[in-house]
Amino acid sequence: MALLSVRNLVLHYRTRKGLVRAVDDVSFDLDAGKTFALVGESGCGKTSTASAILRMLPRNVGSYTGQIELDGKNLMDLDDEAFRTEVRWRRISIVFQGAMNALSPMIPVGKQVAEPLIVHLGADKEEANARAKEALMNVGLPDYTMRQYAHELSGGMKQRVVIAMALAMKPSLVVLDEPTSALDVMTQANIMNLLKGLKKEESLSYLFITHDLGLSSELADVIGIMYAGKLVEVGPAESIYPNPQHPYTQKLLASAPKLRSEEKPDSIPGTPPDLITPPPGCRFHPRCPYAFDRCSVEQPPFFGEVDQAACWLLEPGRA
Amino acid sequence: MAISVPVLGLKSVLGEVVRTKTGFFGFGMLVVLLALVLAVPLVAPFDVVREWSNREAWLDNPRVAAPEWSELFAGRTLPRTVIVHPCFTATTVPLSINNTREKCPGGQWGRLAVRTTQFGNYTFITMDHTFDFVADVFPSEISMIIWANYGPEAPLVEVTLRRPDNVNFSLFSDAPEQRTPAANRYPLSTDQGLKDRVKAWASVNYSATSVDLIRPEVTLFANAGPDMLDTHKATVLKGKYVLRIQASAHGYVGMDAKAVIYGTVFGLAGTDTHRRDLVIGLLWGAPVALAFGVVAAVVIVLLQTILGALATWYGGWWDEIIQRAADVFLIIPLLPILLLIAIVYSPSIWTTLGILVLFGVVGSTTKVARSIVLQVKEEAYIESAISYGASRARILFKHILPRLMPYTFALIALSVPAFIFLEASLSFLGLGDPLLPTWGAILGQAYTDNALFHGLWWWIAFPAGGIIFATVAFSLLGYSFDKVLNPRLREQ
Repeated sequence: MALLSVRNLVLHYRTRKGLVRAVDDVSFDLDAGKTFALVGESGCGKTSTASAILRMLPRNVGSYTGQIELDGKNLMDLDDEAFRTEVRWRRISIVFQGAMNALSPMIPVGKQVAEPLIVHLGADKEEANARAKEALMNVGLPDYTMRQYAHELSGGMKQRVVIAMALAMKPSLVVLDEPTSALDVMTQANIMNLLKGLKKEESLSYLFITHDLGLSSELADVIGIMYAGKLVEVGPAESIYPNPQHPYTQKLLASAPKLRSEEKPDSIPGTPPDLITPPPGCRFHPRCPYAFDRCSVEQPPFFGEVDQAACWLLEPGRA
Repeated sequence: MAISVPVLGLKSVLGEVVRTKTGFFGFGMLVVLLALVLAVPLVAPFDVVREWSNREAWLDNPRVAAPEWSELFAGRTLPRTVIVHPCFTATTVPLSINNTREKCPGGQWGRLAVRTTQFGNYTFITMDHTFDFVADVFPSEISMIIWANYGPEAPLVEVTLRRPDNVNFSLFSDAPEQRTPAANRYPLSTDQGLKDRVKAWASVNYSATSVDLIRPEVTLFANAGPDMLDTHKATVLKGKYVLRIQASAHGYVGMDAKAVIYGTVFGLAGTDTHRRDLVIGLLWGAPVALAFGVVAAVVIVLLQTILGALATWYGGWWDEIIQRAADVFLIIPLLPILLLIAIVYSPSIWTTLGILVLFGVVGSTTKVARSIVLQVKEEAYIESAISYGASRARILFKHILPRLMPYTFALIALSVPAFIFLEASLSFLGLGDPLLPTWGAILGQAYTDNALFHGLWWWIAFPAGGIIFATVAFSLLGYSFDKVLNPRLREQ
C-alpha cells in the first residue's frame, strides 16, 4: 500500500487577474521507503503541490480540494488544529527552498532544531536539546553548532541544520523542496549524498521537488514530470530516463547539456503558459512539435502501464 | 523606498550603541543617574521625604539659604547655622534638685541648677553656651525655644547675649507659660519689642543712625558704632559670643532651651522658602522622575509593540480596529486631559501614570510594530515555523517579537524624556503629586515664590539641571540606538 496517495489534488489561488490554477487535478502515489521526484520548470506548480500536501496555504486560496491519504487516512478530513498538531513534522516534514532564510537569525540553531520537539512532544529543554544534538550529529554537524547562530554557518551547514530539523521528529515522509537550489555544485553533491545516506539509515520516504532532472536521478525511484499545474508523466526512474514518453519529458531531457558529446542541448520553443488562462486540451500543445488537432481540444488521459504519460500520441491503437 | 529590517540581536545592538560616542555618553550619564538613585535611600531615607511638605520638620534650616560652597565665589565667609541643642528631650525636662550641678546629657549648654531654701523656697537655673561667630556676613535670623516644667508658678527667664566686646544685651525676659512638652517659641528676629530695644540700645549707647528696617540679628552682631543699625553699612563683630539663660522661680522648676542662629548658607543645594533642604528634594526627584519616565515608557511602548504585533500577526478585524484606534489616540491631546483629571481627582503620581498608560495602549509604536511585523512575517523561517507545526502564538513570541525588541528598546529610550518632561510639567503646574518632591514641583514652587526675581539661582538651576541631565541621557541613548538600527543614519 502506498504511504502517500494524492488524488485529484487541486489548489487554485485567487488573484486580481483571475484564478491561478497552480495545481490542477494532480494524482500520484508514493510507496514507503521510496523517493518520488516531482520535476518541472519554475512556476509549474511543484512547490504549490508541496504546500498543498502540508496545507501551508496563503490567504488567497481559491479552491483546495482532492484527497491526500497518508497511510490510508485522508488528511483533508482533519481540521487545521489537528493537522498542525498531528501531521506537521510528526508525519510529514519539509526542507525548504533556500535554507539560508529558513533559520531565524535571532535564535541559536540548536534551539531551533529543538523547537519542533518542544512544540509537539512537550519535551523538556534538556531532552529536546539532547535530541537536537543527536539530530545535528546525524547530518554530520559538530555539537558546538548547537550554540551557533545562522549567520555563523555556511550555506551547506545551514542546509544540514534544516535537514536535521526536518528529521528530528523521525517523520515517515520528508518533503524536499529544492533542497540544494541555493548551493554550489560541490555542496550540492555533499547534501545529496547525505540525503541518500539518511534515507537508507532512517528508512525515510522523500517527496523530492526539483527543476533538475539530473539531480532527481540521484535520488528518485519514481519521477513525476509536471507541466503547467498538471502531471504529464509518471514513471519509474529507470524507464523514464532512457525512454521518455511524453514530448515534454523528451524535450526536457534533450535540453540538458551532455557530457562528452558534441551534441548541442536542445531547447523548447515558446514560454510556459499563463496559469490563469491555460491552453485548452493538452497544456503543452502550443509548444509541442507533434501536436495535432485533438491536442488543442481534449485533455489527454494517462496512457501506458508502467510509465504513464498524458499524451494523445500514446493512445493505444494509434500507430 | 522600502527599508529592510536589519537582523540584529539585542546584545549586539547594545554593544554597538555603547561604541558610538553619543551612546557612550548617554550610557555614562544613565549610570550616574542610577548610582544616584541607589545612593538616595542611604543619603536621605524615605522618612525624610515623608516630611517634605511638613513645615515643622524643617524649622532648624535657614530660609532661602544658598549652597554652602557658594562662598567660594562670594569671596567672603558666609555664616553657617548655629544650633544650640537642648539638654534633655522636650518631654523629660527634669525638675531641679537641691544644689546640684546637673549634667547636660544631650545638648551643648553649660547647665547649673541651684535650689535654696535660704530665702524661702527658690530655684535658680543658669544655662550658657559659647560660640564663635567669625563670618563676614550677619546671621539671617535668630530664634529660641524654651521648655518649662513647673509647679504653681512659671519661672522668670531672662536671656542675655554677651558680645565679644563684653557688652551684655538682654534679648528678652519672660515667664514661659506653656508647660512641657509644649514649647514656648521666641522668633526673635520678628519680635517688635526686641527691635525697639535694640534700636534704643544702639542709638543711646553708640549714637547709631536710626533706620526704618531694624534687624536685631544684624545690630546685635555688628561692630559698635553709628552704623550698627544700618543693614548695609554695619560690619560683623567677630569673636566669642555667649548666650546665657537665667531662670528663677518659686518652688521646684525645670527648664531647657534651644537656640538657632540661622546662617545664610546651607548644605550642598541650599534651601527654599519653606526652609527645606533642596538636596533631599533633588535627590528624591531623581528616582521619582526616573521611575515615572521609565515605567511609563516601558509599559506604554511594550503595550503598543505587543498589541500592534498581535493585531498585525493575527490580522483581519482586530488589525483594522487596533490601527484605527491608534489613529484616534494619536490625535488626542494628552496634556489637557491630564490637567483635567489632575484637577478633578487627587493628583497622585500613580493616577497620572495610570491615565498615561490608559491613553497609551495604542499609539505611534503600534504603527511601527505593524510595519516591522509585516516585513518579518514574510520571511522564510516564519514559513518554516508554520511547517513544523508551531502555533501562531508561539511563532509570534519566539520569532517575531524578538525581532522587534531592539526597536522597542530604542523607542523606550527615546520616549523616556517625553514622560519625564510631562511629569515635570504637571508638577510645575502644581498638578503633580503634592506629597513627593519632584524636580518639576521644586521648579514650580520656585516660580510661584519669584525665586528668579530674588536671585535664588540654586532653587532653579539644580532641579532644571536634573531634568536636563536625565532627559539628555535618555535622548543620547535613544539617538545612538537609532543610529545603530536605522540604516539610513548609519555612519559610513
